[in-house]
Amino acid sequence: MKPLSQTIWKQGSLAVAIASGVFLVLMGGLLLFNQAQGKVAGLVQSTELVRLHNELRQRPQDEELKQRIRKLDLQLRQNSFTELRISHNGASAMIVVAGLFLASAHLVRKQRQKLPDPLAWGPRRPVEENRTRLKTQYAVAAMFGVAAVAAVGTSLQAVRLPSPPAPVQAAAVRFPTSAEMRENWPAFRGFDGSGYREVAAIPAAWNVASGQGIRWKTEVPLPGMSSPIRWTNALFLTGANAQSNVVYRFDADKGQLVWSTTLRNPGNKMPEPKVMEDTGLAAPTPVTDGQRIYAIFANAEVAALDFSGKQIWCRILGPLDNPYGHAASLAIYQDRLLVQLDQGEATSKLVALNTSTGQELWRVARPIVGSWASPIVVEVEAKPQLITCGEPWVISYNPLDGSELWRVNGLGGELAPSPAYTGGKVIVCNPGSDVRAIPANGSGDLSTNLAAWKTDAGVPAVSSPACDGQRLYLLTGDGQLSCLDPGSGQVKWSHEFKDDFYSSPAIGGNRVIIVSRKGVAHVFENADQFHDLGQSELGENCNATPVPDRQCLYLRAGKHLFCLEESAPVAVKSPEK
Amino acid sequence: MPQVVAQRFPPPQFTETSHLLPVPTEPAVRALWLDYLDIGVLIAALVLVSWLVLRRRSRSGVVGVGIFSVLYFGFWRKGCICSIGSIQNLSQALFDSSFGVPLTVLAFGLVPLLFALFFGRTFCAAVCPHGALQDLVLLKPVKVPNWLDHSLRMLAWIYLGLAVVFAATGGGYIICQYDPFVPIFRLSGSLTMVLFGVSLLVVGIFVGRPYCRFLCPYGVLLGVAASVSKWRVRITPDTCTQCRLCEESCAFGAINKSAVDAPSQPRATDKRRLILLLVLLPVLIAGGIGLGGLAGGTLAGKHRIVNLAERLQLEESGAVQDTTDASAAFRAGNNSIETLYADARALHHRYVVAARWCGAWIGLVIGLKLLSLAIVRRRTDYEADQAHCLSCARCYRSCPQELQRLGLPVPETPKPANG
Amino acid sequence: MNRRNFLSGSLRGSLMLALGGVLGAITGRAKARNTVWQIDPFQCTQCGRCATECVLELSAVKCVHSFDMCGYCQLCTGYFEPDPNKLNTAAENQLCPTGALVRSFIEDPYYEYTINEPLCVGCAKCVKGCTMFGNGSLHLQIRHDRCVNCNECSIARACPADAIHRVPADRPYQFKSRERKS
Repeated sequence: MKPLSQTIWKQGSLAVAIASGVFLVLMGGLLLFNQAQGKVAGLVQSTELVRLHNELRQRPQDEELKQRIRKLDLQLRQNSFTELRISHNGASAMIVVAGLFLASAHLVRKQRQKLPDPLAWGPRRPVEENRTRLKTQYAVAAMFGVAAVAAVGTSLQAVRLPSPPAPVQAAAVRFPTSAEMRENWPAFRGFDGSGYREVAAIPAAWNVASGQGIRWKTEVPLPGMSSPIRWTNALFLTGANAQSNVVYRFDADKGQLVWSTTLRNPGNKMPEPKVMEDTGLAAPTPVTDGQRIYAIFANAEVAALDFSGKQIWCRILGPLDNPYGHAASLAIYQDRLLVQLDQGEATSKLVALNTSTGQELWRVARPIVGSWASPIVVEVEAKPQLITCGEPWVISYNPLDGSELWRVNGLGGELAPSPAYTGGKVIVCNPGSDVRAIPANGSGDLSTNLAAWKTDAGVPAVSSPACDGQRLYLLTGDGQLSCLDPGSGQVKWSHEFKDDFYSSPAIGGNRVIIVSRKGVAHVFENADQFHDLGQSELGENCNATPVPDRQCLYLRAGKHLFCLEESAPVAVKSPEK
Repeated sequence: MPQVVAQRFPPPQFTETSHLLPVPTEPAVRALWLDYLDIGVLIAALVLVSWLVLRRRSRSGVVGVGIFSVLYFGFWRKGCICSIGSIQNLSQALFDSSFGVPLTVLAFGLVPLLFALFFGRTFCAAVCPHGALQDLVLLKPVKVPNWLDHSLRMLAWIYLGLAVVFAATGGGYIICQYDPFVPIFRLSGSLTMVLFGVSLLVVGIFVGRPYCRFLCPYGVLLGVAASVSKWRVRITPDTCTQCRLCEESCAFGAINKSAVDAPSQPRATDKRRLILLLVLLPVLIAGGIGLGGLAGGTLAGKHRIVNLAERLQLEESGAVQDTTDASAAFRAGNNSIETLYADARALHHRYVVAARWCGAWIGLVIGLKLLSLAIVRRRTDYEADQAHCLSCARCYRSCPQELQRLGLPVPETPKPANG
Repeated sequence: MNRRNFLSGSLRGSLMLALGGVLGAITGRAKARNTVWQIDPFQCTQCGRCATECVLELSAVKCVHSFDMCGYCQLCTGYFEPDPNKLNTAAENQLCPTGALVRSFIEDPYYEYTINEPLCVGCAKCVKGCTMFGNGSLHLQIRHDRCVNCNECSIARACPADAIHRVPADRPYQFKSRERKS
């Protein structure tokens, strides 16, 4: 090679190597900066955009705000996609330039390479080489030490797993007798979910302003849509806010708050579930077996408390992803607490917990899109059945092991009314369509079987049916009340109350009470004709189902828990003409 | 029995238009023949490199194949399919009888090992894109002191043990997770891994192939196979004249010098050291087992199920105040928490057992390494260390005999310094 | 030297036997075809990690639409922000951060929703809206023209619902459908 071209090669490759090296450093810096911008993550998780959207919900007419959102939205998209482009093109360019850099740098290296000169190294020194060998051995041995230190260091963060469960000892538990269950009001709409009590004293009317007919009235600290339950002289209620899920015990005779227990530790709560105002955080009604009270809340926190208010166990079956908020109340059979959690086809389930430990006994997946109805436990031909409603199935399970007994297809819509059971038939409401009676002694898929009866008269969308075995009461959201013959489904009579209703009717002896959302109570005769007995106002809204009792009626309204009793003189209004 | 999914909203009933419902598109999966092509290219490249290194003794040929491998297995195939990662699939398959392995993975895992048994680590020379990439960036090799070189090499053995533990227990593929160069081949990846890869390459400008020597778990296996290979790299085509010219030519510290007679260290000392190390071997293994037991509980936490069980336990006991996406997803699903706990306990046990084996492995490997360092071999020539030689063919041209063979000018041969 | 050759020869033989052993143990389960990663849409909880955890900067996961499940709703809860200002295509009403979900009028009252794939980042916002309040016809799938089929999918590792698994390459998609095997 000629000296000149050699010089060009030499200088040229050096220049290329330096230039490309500088480019690599600069480009690397740019890409690093670009990387920090977040790209897709920044686009998807823009807090500013969320803030503006929320603002728009406050001021839906604000055109200027809309313009700002559009501008920010466009800007975010442009930024992200530009950043993605920069990142991809920059990296590609870096690879190409890196290739150039390596090629030129190798050229430079080749030109500058010097031949090895063993003479300059001097003679090999065996002693030193031996010493190096020894040093190497110590260094390798030290690696074991490093590994040992690392192992000991990591062992500090070893996982801690729950120890295997101790076998549940069969405690000599006495389950409440059917008579005890009937005498008390242990669950939502009574022990069998029919909303009926044989011996009861529903007052025809009262007056909150004068106190007439009000045995007592106690403020409930926290709101909740749940209904009261009663066992002997203990009246239980639940309430919740964003911070705490609380169970209350009131004295059934005097009305004072005996205790209130916040589940777990205060402030120690699952993230607040998204619920609608009409459902709230404490919609499900608790249940009791006379020994403990069991409650569930919108975040699927389930707990057992003893009658002194001590928390026995507490566990979380959620969080739930329910568009309205969890509403299904608990059911109980012997030592099994039955929790229906319907939130979506892939996730709907039924769980049975051991009442004394909270440990899961069984669980079954449910092919249910969603439901807000509560399960009921009834005895059919001396065998227990747990009856559940959801879209699109009515399914009956054996509460002991969760095995399915029978199912019927065809429920639609957003299902809130709970089933009722009377005379061997399960009454289910199919909102917007019909009410039907299904014989409960079948097995397997009974969808093709004909219903015992079916009617499209006064189909409830929220309220559950009530039945005393002779008459079945159905109440629609806009106040149409129908009285049916539960055996045939024939309408005996119907009456229009011009009001909105969420709570379910309750039957006590020969009277029936319904309470509107605004808190207006209507009492009428439990008879084959409509006979109005009275109308009274609570002065606060009401969504809970009344609890008739031997001597009085318990009612949970927006702020207070009422105990109402028959007073003399009874203010009977003349029937409307 | 197919069952119609219950739906909130009924399907549309078009009356005015005869609109047809579109169907989602299905972009095709990579074609099967391309998988076979990969296997073909792998074998062809191995044959070619073995021939170039052992027969042609051609460094430029090796560089050429290296560039091809970086382009094909690296940038084109995005570094995945990869022999290094295949160790994990193979170990998982060995420990989990329900786990199937695709043919490509089997081929990429076993064929290079088979070649190493006959031709040495020719896979490392230029077929592995990781090795080839590092080979290309090596500009100014500096010598890593012997003690550091040998001790850092132990990391790869430990890494191999851990990778097998995780793969065998189904806890994930850590070799893939912490692969430094695949993000570079893909031109995208997490920032930490890209930075790790780039820094290894920058270090690799001066330190020859840091990943291959100090980290690569597959290199460990190849080294074992290559140490008994049938044919091997010979620095000199003829007889070694002890000219020492090749002494510094290896960038990877893989040339064993010929033995020199030490001014007689008493043989008794050597013997005593050997016995000491032989006694130390079981001690190291036992220590490894103990340490493995300690670390196993932590390693188990990397497994999804164990991690989830631990989290749920914290939530259930009220020790934490919120849920993670994973615990929320679990609770929403239909699996019982007690079953999960039982699974997690079983896995935890598997991890502890596996970690003890891994500890024993590390103890054994370090013990054997110490023994091999203590044994002085009678070596008459300068030789490539069979286990460590990456068959890069750099040393050939430092040998004056080779230059002579090729008809190239031979620099003046200095006299053997220790003559 | 001969002794050494013999030693290395026999070691080589035993290592070959070991390789053969591995081969024998696994060959029975070896599959000609590689498997590919896919999302089970029924397990997916729409956490949004698919958009950010993929090794590709623009994720290989995209939203797909099973039109046979769609209600063609006018108020699509996958398309519109909750509580939308107006039912039109203005940015303030759209849930999709990139405008990848396209709404087109078919006939009263039906609208069709298609996905502009190059824009979709796989964030699952629309999927969440559709699954929670609608028919769940929008769902996520790994698109195999983009997926590089990593040995270990980094989204699968990050998936809180364990919804991503390897599936046979001849059935590489798991689309939702009205007909579902029970």
